[in-house]
Amino acid sequence: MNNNNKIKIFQNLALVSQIGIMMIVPIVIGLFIGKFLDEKLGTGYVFLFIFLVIGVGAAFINLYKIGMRDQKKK
Amino acid sequence: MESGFGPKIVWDSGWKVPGLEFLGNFQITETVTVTWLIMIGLIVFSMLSTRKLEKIPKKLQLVLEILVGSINNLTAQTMGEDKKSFAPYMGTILLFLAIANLSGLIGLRPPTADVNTTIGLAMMTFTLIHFNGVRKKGIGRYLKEFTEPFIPMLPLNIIGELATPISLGFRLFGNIIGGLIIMNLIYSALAGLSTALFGPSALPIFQAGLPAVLHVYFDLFAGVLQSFIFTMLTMVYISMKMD
Repeated sequence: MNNNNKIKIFQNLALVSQIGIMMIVPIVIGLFIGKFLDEKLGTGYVFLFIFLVIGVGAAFINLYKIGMRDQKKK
Repeated sequence: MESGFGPKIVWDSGWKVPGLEFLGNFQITETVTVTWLIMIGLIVFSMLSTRKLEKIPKKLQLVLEILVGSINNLTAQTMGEDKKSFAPYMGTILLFLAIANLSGLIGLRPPTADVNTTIGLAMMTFTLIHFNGVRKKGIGRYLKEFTEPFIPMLPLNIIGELATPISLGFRLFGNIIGGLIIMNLIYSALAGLSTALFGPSALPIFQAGLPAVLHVYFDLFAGVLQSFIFTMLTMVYISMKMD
């Protein structure tokens, strides 16, 4: 039981250290997809804006999933 | 140092891969050779140490049994008893990453200080996550999960999933290359200090001893911690997708 708890602590520490980068990466992915589409279609900044918003949303969903991971099991 | 902090090119073949000319010449870098060394080391060690297994274990076998047992235990406790069959893969990447990160201590360039290695490993994790998701749930339920809680969330979920391998790969790469660059800068600063004090022909005596403390932090602590975190996150993500 004690050992199990220790592993749970390490597991959650690993996830906590992942939170920061998990927030940035979807936004950057959205930025690149939007920029690529804009250059391809010549649409100014329309897709850049759309995909940035999607990226921010995806970042929130990722964080929500990590946060709610343990609640689901109960 | 003129070429920056990238890996040294060990062998340049002089020809280009047909169809992939834009990548330049086919080259073998330090990353690949050090990876080969680590592979040879791990393979030879495991072959030699499992050759004469006995019922009552002696020294080496006892160490190995503790190692294998603790990796099995870690996988079973993190992923659940039903996913214990992932233990060999997890043990392999844990050992490979730990040795790769620690190889900076014996003067080699860690393979994990090259983004190709880390993203490659993260891609393996990504493939495992989704392959096992499909295998466990069936293709229908797996695809349906992308539209949860409602259908307009589809692009958000897809970008969220794509973020996993990138964040896994870059956090490992960033930690190791950061340590490598700082150590390189400190070594050249200490060499500069001894030249400034004792003239240009002086031995860089400050390089002995002083960087040891920093090696303990950047190579030993950060290296072992990052390899453990990478393995742990691989396990957590796979079991999250399968549950």
